[in-house]
Amino acid sequence: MSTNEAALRQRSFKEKMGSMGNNLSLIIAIIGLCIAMSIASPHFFTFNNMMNILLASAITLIRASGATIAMITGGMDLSQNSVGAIAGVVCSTASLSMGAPLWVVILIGIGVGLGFGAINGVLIAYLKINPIITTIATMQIFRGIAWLITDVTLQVSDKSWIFMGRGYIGDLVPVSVIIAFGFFFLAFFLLKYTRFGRQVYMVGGNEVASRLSGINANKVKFICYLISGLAAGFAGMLVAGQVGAALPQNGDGTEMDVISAIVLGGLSLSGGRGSMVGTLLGILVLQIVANGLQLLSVSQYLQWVITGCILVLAVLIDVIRSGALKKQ
Amino acid sequence: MGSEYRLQMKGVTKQFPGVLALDNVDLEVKAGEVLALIGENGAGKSTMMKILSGALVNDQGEIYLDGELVPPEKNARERLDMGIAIIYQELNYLDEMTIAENLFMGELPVKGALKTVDYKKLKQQAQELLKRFDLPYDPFTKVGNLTTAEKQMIEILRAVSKDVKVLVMDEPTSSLSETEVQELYGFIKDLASRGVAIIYISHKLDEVFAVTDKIQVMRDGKRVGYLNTKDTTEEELVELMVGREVSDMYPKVEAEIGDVILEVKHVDCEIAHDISFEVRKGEILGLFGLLGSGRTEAVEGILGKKEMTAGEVYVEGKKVTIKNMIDAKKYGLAYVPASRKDEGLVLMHSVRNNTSITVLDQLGGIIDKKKETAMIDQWIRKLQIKTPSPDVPVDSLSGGNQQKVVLAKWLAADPKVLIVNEPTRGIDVGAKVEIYKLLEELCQQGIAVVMISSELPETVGIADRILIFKEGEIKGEFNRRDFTQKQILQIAAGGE
Repeated sequence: MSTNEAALRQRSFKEKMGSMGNNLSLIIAIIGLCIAMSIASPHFFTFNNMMNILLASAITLIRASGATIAMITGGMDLSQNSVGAIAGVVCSTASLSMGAPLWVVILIGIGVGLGFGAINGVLIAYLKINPIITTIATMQIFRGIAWLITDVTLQVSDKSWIFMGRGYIGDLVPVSVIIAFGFFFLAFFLLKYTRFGRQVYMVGGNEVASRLSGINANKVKFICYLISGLAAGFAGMLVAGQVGAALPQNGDGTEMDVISAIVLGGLSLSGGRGSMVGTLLGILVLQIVANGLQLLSVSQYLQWVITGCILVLAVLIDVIRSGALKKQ
Repeated sequence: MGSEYRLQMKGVTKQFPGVLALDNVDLEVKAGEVLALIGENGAGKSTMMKILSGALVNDQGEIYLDGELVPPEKNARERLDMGIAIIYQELNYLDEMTIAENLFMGELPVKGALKTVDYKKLKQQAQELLKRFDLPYDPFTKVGNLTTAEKQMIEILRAVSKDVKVLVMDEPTSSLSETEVQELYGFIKDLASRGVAIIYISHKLDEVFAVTDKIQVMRDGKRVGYLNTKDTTEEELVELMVGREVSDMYPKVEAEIGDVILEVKHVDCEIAHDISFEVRKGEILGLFGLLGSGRTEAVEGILGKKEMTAGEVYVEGKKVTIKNMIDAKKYGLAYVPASRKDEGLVLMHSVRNNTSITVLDQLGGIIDKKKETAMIDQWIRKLQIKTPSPDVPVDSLSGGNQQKVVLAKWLAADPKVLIVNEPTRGIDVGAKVEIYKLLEELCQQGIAVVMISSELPETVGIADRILIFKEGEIKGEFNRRDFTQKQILQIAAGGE
């Protein structure tokens, strides 16, 4: 019994190391990038710039905290930015015309997110429409709704809202970074320690087997899109605070940022595999590259090329490591 | 270099992880001869044919075609070019394309610099082939408009459009009506008269007698009989197919049989029709039948996996509505599906996750890891699951241990009725015996077991009562001691 337990502990340590494989290479990549960028630019490795990187990552991290959960079920949520745009304009309307206090604004942001997330959830989980198709469609539908609500820029005047978006605590740490890590830890905890998280992984790994084991797979998937919507709504509200204004076109065209980071983080698009730690590392890699290239005054166009290449490279490494090429 | 045999397989051996699938097996067919290859599921028939087609590589043994060695590295495509063609149970045709296109798929005649399809030539080629076998079809009919039998003919034609020497047919009549079967027989005899060597795999003994010249019987990866069809009887074949010492493998322990737990009345689900049965505490009820006889549909209808179009289900005397496994679990029904990989397990995840999946509700919103580990350790020990730790992917275990994990997850849910579908498919003999023992033990603890199986010896070996399924209906019921394997197989497989 005792030897069994010892063997068990040893094995699970090994297992942990194994699952760290992808994360480990991302950490090495981050360290390598940091060293390279520090050499290339004296402005890179400073406390302020590190905070800039985190600040620029904050919104993506919030969105990704929801999207990662949805994507582990084998799903996808491309509509997050559109949901965020609606949340932004609705929140600022409430704030401007009704004088809603910050806590109401936050609740509205979350509420809008949950509502539109529920639409995705019903379409995907209960009406069985392919998640990519569904969210490409709702991405457009929700974007249109945001424009229908307002086609002008709505200023955010609430000081506390703006503080939440771009203020610093003690002139050191951005408030939105702290909030983003709050989302990160919630999602991390949810996936790793709760019954719901376990169900998400099982449904993603084999939906039929999960159903046949008495898991309510539809409900699990529905909740995933609620969470993804919640994160999107909150992020949209926070962006308005960051920018100081809510725009219906907010986040348009950057839908893939979140997906790229998540995939870079080692999530399997067919479901069952992925983690919040991987997602965080994926976001950091992409953001460090973007930040470094900006410091080096590399043009935005070239940045896109480089970011895209990194993603292909990362996935390629994964393919090679899994041995899929040899099997052919 | 000539040879007496068109095809000769010598000493073929194939080891799968944990199972010796083929053990030094020979097979011979002469030109113009139809050889039946029979045996129970898992006897090694399909492995043998996969090795012949090049889909699998044998560990030992050689294949000779007309006396010449077929190099083992030749793939399926190259072997087809050599004249070895196989028609699988599932037909491979494209409904939306024409007969001609299906016949010459992959090698359509082309013309011009752009290599566009030369339909004129295609039509001509197809017509020639159809004429050669006196089939009156228009080559430009869509295959989707044909009957199943006609599709089957097209499939065969495709195989023989090349200069075929050996044709393997795997359960070719599984989707044909009686008259269509007769047509197929005529076609097979015609092919044989043209010098093709035919290997005919079937479960149905009446077909074997109707169309074959020789019979090779396989059991547990060995050849146990090679007979002239006209010199043998159905009884002899069944004996050869079954023929093991039943008592050694199935240590039947009589459990006390109690009250009825599960009762179903007049259930219809897909091909299953008017299925009624009851199962009692401590009883093992065997549902025996060949593949496609409706056993799985009946059970999946009862469990709500498929739609039950008629009928009623009672658990402990109370009428229940079961729409899915969530309901089924609530009423104490557990289901071990036939396919571990597709329906039983989340392969990429750990033994832990796969075992606790049915009882997550009992482990709290935040999973109580201690409780979970204790529970899993208990089941690993009880079922003697060989795993280095509960946290390795279940994918890395052997088939037998994987099956034990599926059983463990349902036993953890503390069921009243355990329904197992082909519980020992694809696992080795040692693990089989362990699973039989486990099922017996469960009965002694008062659980009712319903076992679907197409392996007759295990059904006869451990069931207290057997229902025989054929063509979607229950065609017979036997109590323990009242049945012999021959009677059962004759009902399930024989003619009317």
